[in-house]
Order: sequence, then structure tokens, then C-alpha cells
Amino acid sequence: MKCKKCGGRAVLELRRHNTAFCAEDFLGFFRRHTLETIRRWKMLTRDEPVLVAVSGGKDSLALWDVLLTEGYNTAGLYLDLGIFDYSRASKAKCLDFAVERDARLIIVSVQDAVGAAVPRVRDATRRPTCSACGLSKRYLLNRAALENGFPVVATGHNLDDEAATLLGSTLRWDESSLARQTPVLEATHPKLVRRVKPLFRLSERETAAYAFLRGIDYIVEECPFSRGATSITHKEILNRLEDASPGSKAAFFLGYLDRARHLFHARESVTLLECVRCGQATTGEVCAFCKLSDQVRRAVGLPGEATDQPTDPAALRGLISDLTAASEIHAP
Amino acid sequence: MSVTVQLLASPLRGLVDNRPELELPFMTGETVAALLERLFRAYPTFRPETMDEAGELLYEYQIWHEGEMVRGEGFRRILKDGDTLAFLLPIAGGSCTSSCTGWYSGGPRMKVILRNQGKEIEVTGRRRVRELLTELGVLPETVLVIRGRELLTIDEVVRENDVIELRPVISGGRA
Repeated sequence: MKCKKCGGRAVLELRRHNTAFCAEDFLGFFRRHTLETIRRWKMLTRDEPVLVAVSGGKDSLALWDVLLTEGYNTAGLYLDLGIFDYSRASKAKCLDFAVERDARLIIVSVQDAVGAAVPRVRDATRRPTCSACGLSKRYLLNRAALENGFPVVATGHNLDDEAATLLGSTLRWDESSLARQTPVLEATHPKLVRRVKPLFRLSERETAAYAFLRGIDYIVEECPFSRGATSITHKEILNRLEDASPGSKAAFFLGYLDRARHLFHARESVTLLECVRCGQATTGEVCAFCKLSDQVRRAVGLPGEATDQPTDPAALRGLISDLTAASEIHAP
Repeated sequence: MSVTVQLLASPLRGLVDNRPELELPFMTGETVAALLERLFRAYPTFRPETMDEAGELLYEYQIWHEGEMVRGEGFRRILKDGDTLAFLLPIAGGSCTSSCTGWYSGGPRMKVILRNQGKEIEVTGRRRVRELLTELGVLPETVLVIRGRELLTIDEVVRENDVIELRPVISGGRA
């Protein structure tokens, strides 16, 4: 197969675009596509700092790489979920990435913020692990952005993620999810930052290829709690459709944004208040995160508040040597 | 503008003055089956040597087209200018050249690493990535196919002694 642009040897075929690219032209395609998404959906401006939520996986590191390459003012935010070796390995990938590029990485520990690491939350609260983890991530991301002066958070969600979420919501006819799913979540409250997904038009295979071709050392292993997840089944089903008729995933999700979302969105109206405990935006009196954290702290017998750990590139270098020496890390 | 028919089976070479290969003019849009018909018209002794009365390839022969064994639907594949079609006699009396080394089960193998299953398998015989993925039941959309430091498209040919990693691209939990 030949690169449609330069005629050189292709390394990746993009069936839904009926094209193929060599390494260099694919990287160019990926960056242009991302920038075009950012521009068309008014996701970021050049003069505001953006906090990139990084997990150590291919999507978030590819996104951070594009934004750094294109000169955006960014910092990474790594949430340490405390999921055994998976978290240790993924944190190491993020630290290496940040140090190599002299970028700022902020690390927030779920253990410190919630009172226990993710694996212990289910026992403490009876809430499913992934649900508690997702809730904590959304909350802590937003809070870290506010506390560190970032008006916007960018996440690495790709087309496959978005299409699988949409399929899940559609199968349940979950109207409030169908009203809310969007690549740009505007800041509708002073305590909420804007959330954007600049990779939402690129497939998972494309972000993986970008990370590989850029030599990004990302964590290939999956979170141990994700095994057998319904969202992965949905992805597999969508990939079968994609195989039978390329472009299905994009048609499904982009068509929803273009022609279906407004039908649900119009009916959804939510009044946001401030949590009486932490001051973050919520629909109730006490936010879901504070309730979760209370439950966990009671269960593990912990009072007290936690602190985030902002870290500059110089401090990160020290962290890396700690990481190789000790199994547990604490930022200076 | 030609298509090459390699004769990697000595009984077939005997029918054409021991020539190892034949060049046939390329014809746009021609299928593998149509080219075989043309070959049989030009060399009438080929047909009874390689085909049974029902028009099926005799079991001891194989036809390979650009690194893939031709089977079933494969006979309807359209040939491109410069393509090579090879007749093999893999059971006995075949005269393998480099293009079919490793066909024999004792020959060198290709190692395929299935990263998500923590599994390694070994296969013999060169083939296209597309065919390898089909045999393993892997959808092309769900993996990167990696050889060393390069990515392979589905039409690349992988061969003996290659180490191929199939790296899954699907990620994500329930959140």
C-alpha cells in the first residue's frame, strides 16, 4: 500500500477515509485533524492555559504531545488512583513523558483526596468500582483545574470512546446521558471549568498509531478493573460494524451530534448549586464526591482533609528516581 | 505489462521445456481464474496435469498469488500488472525456491505475539497481514500490527522469522 500523499510506503490504512499514509504524513494528518477539531468546536484559545488529564495511556499522551508540539500552554494532571502495579506503571509513564519534554505535571492522589485508593472504595461504599472512580476523576480534575488557575481541561477521549458511550446510552434510552454527551462541555457555573475532547473525531487505532510512531512510551496494559466492562463489549460490536462498513462509528457519533443531540438537550434543564461542604458545583446540597468521601473516611476510620501535589519539572526528576527505588511515592 | 506464472513444481516444468516460469501478457481486470483459462489454452497439457474433471485444482497442487494461497473466492481476485502466480507441489517433488521456504512444517516459523492475551503463537508460511488476522479472528480495526519498529498495513506480506506484535488499541473501563 502506498501513501496517498507522497507515494512512499504506507504504514497505516484509514479505511473510513479510503486512504493510507506513511509515518510522516500520518502524523501531519493527525495533528491537522486535532487542530481543526479544536478550531471548529472552539475548544481552546491560544492564550489560555489548558490542563491535560493524563492517564499514561495512548490517547491522553498523544493529545498532550500534539498540544505541546503545537505550542499550547499546558500542564498535565495525573490522578493516582492507587490501583496497584497498574497505577505505579502508568504514573511512571506520565513522569517520564513530562520530564522528557520539560512539561509541568500535577499529581493528585485519590487516596489522599477520598480517604482510600480506588480498590478499597467499593468495600467502603458498595458503589461499583468504576462508578466511584469515574465520579472521583471528574470531581478531582475540575477541582485541580480551578485551584491551579486552568479555565479548561482537555481529555483524550477518542471516537471509539464516544461512540461506545453513545451506544450504551441509546441501548438504555438514557435521556439525560443523551442530552449531555458532547465534545465540549461549557463552564455553566463559576465552579466548573470547560471540558473538551480534542481527539473525539479520531479513532482509537489512530491515536495508538500516533503514539507508536511518535515513540511515546505509553502503558498498553489495561486497568485490571476494566476486564469484562460493558463499554468494551460495545466497542467490539462497533468495530464489527466498522469492519463490515467503514465509517460506521463516525456516522453514528457525528450524526448524533449533528442531528439528534438537540432533541434531548432541549428537554434537559439543571439548576446548579454549590456544595455546602466543599463549594464545588452540584445539583444537591452536598455533592456526590463529598458523600462518597464521607462514606469512605467513616469506613476506614479517617478524619481530615487532603492536599494536591503540584510539581514542576525539576521536582519531577527527583520523583523518577524515587519511583525506581520505592514502591510507594510521595511528591515532595 | 505482464503477469508471471512461476512453476515451483518440477512436473509442470517438464511440460514447458523445463522453464521455471512463464510470462503472460497482462490484461486489465483479469481474474486468477481467467488467467488460468488462458494458460490452459496456451499450454493444453497443463489442465489434465493440475485439474480434476470437475475443474477443481488437484489436491497435491497449490496456487499462490502474491504471497497468499488461492482458495475459493481467491480465484475471483483481480490480477495487477506485474503480479506473480505460483504453482506449488508442496507434498513431494516440489522444488521450493526462496518464495516458499518454510512451507514445510519443519521449516522456519513466524512468531506472532498477541499482546492482550499474553500469548505467543508460531505459524509457518508467508501470507498477508489481512490473512493472518482473519486466521486469528482479529479485526484489523482493533490492533496495530508491529514488526520491529514499523507498523504494517493489512496488505503487507509477513514471512518466516518475522516477529509480529498484535497490539490491541481498545482501552477503557466502565467510567
